[in-house]
Amino acid sequence: MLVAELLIDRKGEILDSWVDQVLATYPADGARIFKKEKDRFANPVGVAVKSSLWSVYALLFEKNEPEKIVESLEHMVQIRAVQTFNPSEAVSMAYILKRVIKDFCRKDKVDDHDGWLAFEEKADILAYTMFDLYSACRERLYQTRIAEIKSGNSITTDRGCPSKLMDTNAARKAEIKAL
Amino acid sequence: MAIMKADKLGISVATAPSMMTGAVPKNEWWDVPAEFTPGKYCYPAKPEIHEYHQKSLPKELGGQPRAWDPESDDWKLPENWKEIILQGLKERLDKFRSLKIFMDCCVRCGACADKCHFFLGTGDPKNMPVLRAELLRAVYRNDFTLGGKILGKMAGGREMSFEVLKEWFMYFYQCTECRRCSVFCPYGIDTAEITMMGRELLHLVGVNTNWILEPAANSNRTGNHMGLQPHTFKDNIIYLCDDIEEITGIRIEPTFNRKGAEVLFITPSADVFAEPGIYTAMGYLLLFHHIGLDYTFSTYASEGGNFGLFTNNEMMKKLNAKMYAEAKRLEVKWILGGECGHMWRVLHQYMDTMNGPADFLQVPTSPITGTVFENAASTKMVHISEFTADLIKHGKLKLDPKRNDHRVATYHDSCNPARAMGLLDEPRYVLQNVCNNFHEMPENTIRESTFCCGSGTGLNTDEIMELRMRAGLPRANAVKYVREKHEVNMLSCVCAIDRATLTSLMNYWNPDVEVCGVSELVGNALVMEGEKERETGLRFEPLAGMEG
Repeated sequence: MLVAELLIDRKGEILDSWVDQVLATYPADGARIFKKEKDRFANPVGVAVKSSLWSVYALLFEKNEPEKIVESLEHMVQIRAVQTFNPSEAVSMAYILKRVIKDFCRKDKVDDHDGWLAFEEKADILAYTMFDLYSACRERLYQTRIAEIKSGNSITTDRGCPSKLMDTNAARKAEIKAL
Repeated sequence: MAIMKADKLGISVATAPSMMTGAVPKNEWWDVPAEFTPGKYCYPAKPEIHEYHQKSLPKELGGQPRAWDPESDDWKLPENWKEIILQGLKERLDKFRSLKIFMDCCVRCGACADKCHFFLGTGDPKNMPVLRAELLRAVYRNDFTLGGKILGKMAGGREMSFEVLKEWFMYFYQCTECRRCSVFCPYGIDTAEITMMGRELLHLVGVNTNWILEPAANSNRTGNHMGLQPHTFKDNIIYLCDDIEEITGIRIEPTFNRKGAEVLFITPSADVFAEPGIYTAMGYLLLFHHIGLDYTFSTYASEGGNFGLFTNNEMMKKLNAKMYAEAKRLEVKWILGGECGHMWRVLHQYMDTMNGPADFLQVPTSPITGTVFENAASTKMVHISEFTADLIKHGKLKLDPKRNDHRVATYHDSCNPARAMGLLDEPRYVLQNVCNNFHEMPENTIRESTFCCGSGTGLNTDEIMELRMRAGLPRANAVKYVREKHEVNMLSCVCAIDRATLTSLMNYWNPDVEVCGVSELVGNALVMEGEKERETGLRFEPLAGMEG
């Protein structure tokens, strides 16, 4: 069997394993619920991971449209980018997929070096795209924080009433003068 | 993401349970310690703020003022801190029957487990409401039940320790007291009250956050969270009147601290100060002018919000009392409340036994329609959405909903008005009358089942932005759906914290969706007598088809 055939024939099992392993990055009690609940509003993380991985898989290995994967990945990466993962953990879906496919190749005794290289190239596209998306999400997060600080909502704690500010300014001036 | 140094990162990738190593964390929840790294906790209160509160509240409620660092292993706690906590718990079990019942009656059925937005955004089991409560319940069991005293851990007991205290600080500040879980609890356990008690106990040993204590201090000193002094509060409202004049040609002259007005109007101070709340305030001003309401603002009761709710019940009582003290001083008949969130929780569930009954006021009656607000017969305070809906129902408002045609709106049920006072239909009725494009979010994300903004209860501070973004995911996810399906571009709500925090939430998750108060859309639609032709909305944004 060729790797390309394996990717089509065993699609369901491969995806189940891939989704399971990605969701296993959450604490076990959480992952159990993320795997089970089908309603996208009652389970935003689990459903986003599953639908994103299924969609990306189809684009990469069935439709051969790697240029379209960004849209499928965006929401999942947005989620991973604000959870408590290290960056490498947050976006290592491509590496997990490689591990899954290696396991299947081993089990099915697939020996197809060229096929593996072609698969790996696509998996790498996934890795690079996720890295870019992750960086964009983090950038957006920082921009969100800056926008909030600038909006004035932060004034409740970071500044006092004007008279308090005058005290602070006077103290600062006195400090400078003392130097 | 925790911020890590490069050398530690390398080790983490190679060895820690991660996708790179293929290992999965397997510890039981009670063996997973709470680790404080930047972004996972709110900054502790500044000692001077802490000291300020001690001038007017019993010192023992707040513990020892000091600088301390949650990331350190020394929180500079008093030597007898365990004793203080256990004694505090005992007093509260005696004082609040609800706490005792909530400690005893949970059967761990799990109905609440997957209902919390913090759990749904993190997958962390300690964010399941049942487990978050268990952090307190296990200590209760250990020290206050016979089974626990004899069998300890075997009976689900857990000795109070520094590790447990850390978990309390971590997880009672990963609960926004939104009470969604309570809707699904067959026993009706109010998890918010468990969090409230957890936070009270933490305050006893000086474990607190600045974002809550400083606004509470401001509120106590100047009357509002922002620390606005009377002249600034007044000036800000006058600026809003200037903008209204530019947009509508109508000059509004509100009054301040006017004795004998029929109605005292109280709203969150963010409405007179911060975007996008100021547009909501412009909506109020237009509405009151439109109907000729005899009302006044107070420059001292210049805040609806009550951060005492997130601290301890004494502080809550104190901050709530000022609204009624002002109503009494100004000799008004009743109070009209703006689009605030937790103010309504305090009002509807605690006001009567804390400071009520407000029998020096009259049962609120709309001077325009004659409607008697029997639901507010005891607190004497009416919600602006009820008031507006009643005006619309009686045909007292001249409205042109086309002026909101550039908005495709949806409605976020702000947790406290929805679940703590049952305000579900009035804002929707108002919205359906003031705008032509309104779409509901999915059923399991609205009304009683509404998802929190993720930043309530004093968690709306920027140092925990990531945490807020994951807690707000369930709400943002539902907005994403209506944005894609109906091209929704405006998320309306009736809470000032929502208006501030949903703005950030949308910036991250759905950047093309803006946030507004319901009254802003009312203000846009109101046809004022003698007004000039409107070319823009209250944000100076061009109106669809009226670009001039």
